[in-house]
Amino acid sequence: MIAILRRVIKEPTGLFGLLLVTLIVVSALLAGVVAPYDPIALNIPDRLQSPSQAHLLGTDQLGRDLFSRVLHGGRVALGVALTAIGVALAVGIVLGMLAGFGPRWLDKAILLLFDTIRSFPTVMFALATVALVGPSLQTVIAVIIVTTIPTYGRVVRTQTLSIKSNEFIKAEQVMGAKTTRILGLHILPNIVGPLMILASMDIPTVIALEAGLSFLGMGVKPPTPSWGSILNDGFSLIRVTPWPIIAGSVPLILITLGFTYLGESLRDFIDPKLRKSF
Amino acid sequence: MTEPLLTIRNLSVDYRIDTGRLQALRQINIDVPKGSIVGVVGESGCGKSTLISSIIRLLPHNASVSNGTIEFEGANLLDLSENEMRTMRGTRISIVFQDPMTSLNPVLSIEQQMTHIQYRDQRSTSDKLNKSLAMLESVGIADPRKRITQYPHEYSGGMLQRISIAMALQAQPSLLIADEPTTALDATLEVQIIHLLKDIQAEFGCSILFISHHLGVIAELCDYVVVMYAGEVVEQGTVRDVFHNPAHPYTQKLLECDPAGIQTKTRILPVIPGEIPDLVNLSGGCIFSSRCHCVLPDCETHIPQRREVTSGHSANCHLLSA
Amino acid sequence: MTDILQLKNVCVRFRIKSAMGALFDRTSPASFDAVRDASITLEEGQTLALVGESGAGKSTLALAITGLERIAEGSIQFEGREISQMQANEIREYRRGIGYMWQNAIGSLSPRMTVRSLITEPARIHRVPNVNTRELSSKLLDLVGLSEEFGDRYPHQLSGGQARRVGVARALALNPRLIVADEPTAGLDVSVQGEILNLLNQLQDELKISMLVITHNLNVVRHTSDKIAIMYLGRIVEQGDTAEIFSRPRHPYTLALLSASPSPDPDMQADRIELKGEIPSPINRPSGCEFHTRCPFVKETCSESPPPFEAVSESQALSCYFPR
Repeated sequence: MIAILRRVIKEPTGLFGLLLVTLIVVSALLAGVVAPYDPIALNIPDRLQSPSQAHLLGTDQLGRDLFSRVLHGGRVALGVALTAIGVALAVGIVLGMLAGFGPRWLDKAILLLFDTIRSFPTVMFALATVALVGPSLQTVIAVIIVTTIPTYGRVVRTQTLSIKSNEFIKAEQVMGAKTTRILGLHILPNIVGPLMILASMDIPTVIALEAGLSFLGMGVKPPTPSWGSILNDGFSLIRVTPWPIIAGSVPLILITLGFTYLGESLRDFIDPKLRKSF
Repeated sequence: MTEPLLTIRNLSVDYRIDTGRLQALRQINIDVPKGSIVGVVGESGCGKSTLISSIIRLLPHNASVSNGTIEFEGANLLDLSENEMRTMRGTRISIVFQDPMTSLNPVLSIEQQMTHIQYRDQRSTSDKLNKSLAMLESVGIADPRKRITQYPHEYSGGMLQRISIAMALQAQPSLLIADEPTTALDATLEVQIIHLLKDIQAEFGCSILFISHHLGVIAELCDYVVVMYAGEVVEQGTVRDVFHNPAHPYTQKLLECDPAGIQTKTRILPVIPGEIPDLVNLSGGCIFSSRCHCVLPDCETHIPQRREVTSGHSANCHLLSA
Repeated sequence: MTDILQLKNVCVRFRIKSAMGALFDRTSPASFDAVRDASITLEEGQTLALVGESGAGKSTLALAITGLERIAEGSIQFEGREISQMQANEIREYRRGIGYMWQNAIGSLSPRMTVRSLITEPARIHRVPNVNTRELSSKLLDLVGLSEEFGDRYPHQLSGGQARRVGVARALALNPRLIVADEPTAGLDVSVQGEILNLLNQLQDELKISMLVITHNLNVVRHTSDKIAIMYLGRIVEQGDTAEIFSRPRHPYTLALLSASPSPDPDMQADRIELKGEIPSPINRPSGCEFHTRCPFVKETCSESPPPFEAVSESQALSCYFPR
């Protein structure tokens, strides 16, 4: 673990990514302590202010401190992203390994399921679900989980298939190992690396999706702060002040950059072909 | 020896690696006379692949030639521009690789691949096709007109290796480098390919630099043999001189170990104890001294120079000057 | 002497079309036999070599012996027990008695495990009670001539010869009664080949293990095996004592294999028996004697009906109408 960290830090993009991610995670975790104001407390007299000593990013149309809202919004964003990806990853791994290692009919059944889900456009699916059960954080998480499972499942299945044909798997079988042992001890460790990278690069996509749904009013309900709802507010005020839009989009850009750089340098470390040869 | 075609002098190649400078080839001298077959024999790690890559100048990015010349048809290959070198590859020098299954493109038919490599010739497509057919015929592919439209996976390994040889010879190169061309094949096919190479050499008059770890194949096919160990040439001469009268202890041991040479049944086979030394931190003595069975005091302190055993047969060993 | 392993008329069949495909397309066969009608016996404490070129079905037969490939016909008996009748858990138990050495030495080692955990893996798989893995691994490393420090290495840090030794150690972990070695010297330098063969010989002498060695190189088995079975296209074409096969090969294919290995002597102009063409596909087997398409001594009768597998002496048997 420390060795991986050292490798990541060695490269400037890796270090940059790691710093950004740490910064965002820490500020989201400590939002309650660091944020100078209550993110939902109205303060109409101070509305639509430009950045100042008192309000680092200014205030919105209801006079709420944008800096505090961004910090608390990070909490929502990361919460949604980590839960959704964590669950999707776990389900994807199980289904993918079953498809890759199990009998042909099971493989076909699981693939059919994956393809069915993937054939819905994500946004349409999300809108339909929200229309049915109403907008909430849980709905967003559920939609994201369902739509990302096939992506991970597919990757896991392909990796399992290619590892399955290796002699060390046959060797395990000849030694009398059970399927669960082979999957857990010999296949999983060999596919988990690339998956982690994929997941870390997916986190910004999911955050953007959450922001997008909130922006459309389909995600987090007001007054809960979320980067998407900040953007949404800012959009309607674009002719009055640029600050809400800036406050909502900068963290989105930063987190995307941070996780992408981190994921890329992780991939370079784990993929032996990209690792320094000889 | 007759007129030389390829003359390698004092060639040294290094790789930059994390722990320092890995001296993969050191002061290599090899001559390939016109119209002859020269075998290079050595075990893994002896520098065979680095040698080939240096001749065709396709060394990995972390390798560099630190010394020496490679004279080929009057020019030093190491001085040529990248463009000149590209013209050289495939027309004057060509290669047959170890694994025919991966050295041909799986999504192109043999016909496409064989006409594509004639892109330099200003001739009509039907002329090119006829030439390809004639080449296939000469490497022993029956019914070439029908088979040329097929794809690599429709051929067996032995057939693909024949096709690789045909493609390598298409531009009539003067030097054919064969990199373990029979290692991936079964014994009965290996024999067929050896015979094919012999016939081809007689028919086209090219020289062949044949790389192998298989002593029997070298003995059967080659005129001259170069024995390499850990990045150095330790012995060279005619096949008969070297195999009948090996002067270097490594060559002697290698011949002793070959199971094909041991006719009487034994439960304990001969081996060469020890491992190839670290090529980053060289000892300064003879490279084989750590595994040699007849070490002299000089061996650990001085690198032995090349000495003639008989005319045309030389070895790098202190025993020859003792 | 008792037989530890006995194979009778074993066939291993592979399906190449689905049941549906076979129903609609009857012009080509739906399955083929990678191993056909193979019978071999291995006596306790002896070494039997299975020799043939790629595509001969050697490895398939070996996997059938471990129960990893199902047999379509025939019987395989290990210490008198029929393995094709075994239940899944009985098969797992039975595999304890077999140590398997894989052709691809490095590829058969799980890449993220240390040598120490790799060689003690069999003990963990079978939940051997009261086993001290540290002690077991030290014992095994010592047995195959690797020093203790190798225990902490990973497969990619091993040379070809060292990986072979690890493979041997793993095969020995549960005191097997039979070792199956698939191409034990493939990809090794000649100076290292001897080391591995010596190790196998020495272990057999010390531990009295029976061995089945699979190889395409007759030179490899001359010094290790007691008996040799030559395979061609999934069939055993000649079988006999090693000394006899080498001194008096009778089947033309055996002759060709023996003469195909060039000797490191430039003046030895062997009167070689060179085979035409390549091994045919088991999907379209030639008629009569299946070797007749490549046989240098082919006569008319050869393509008509298959020659029987008959004993020509007390210990040698072959299937050829015109043995040499």
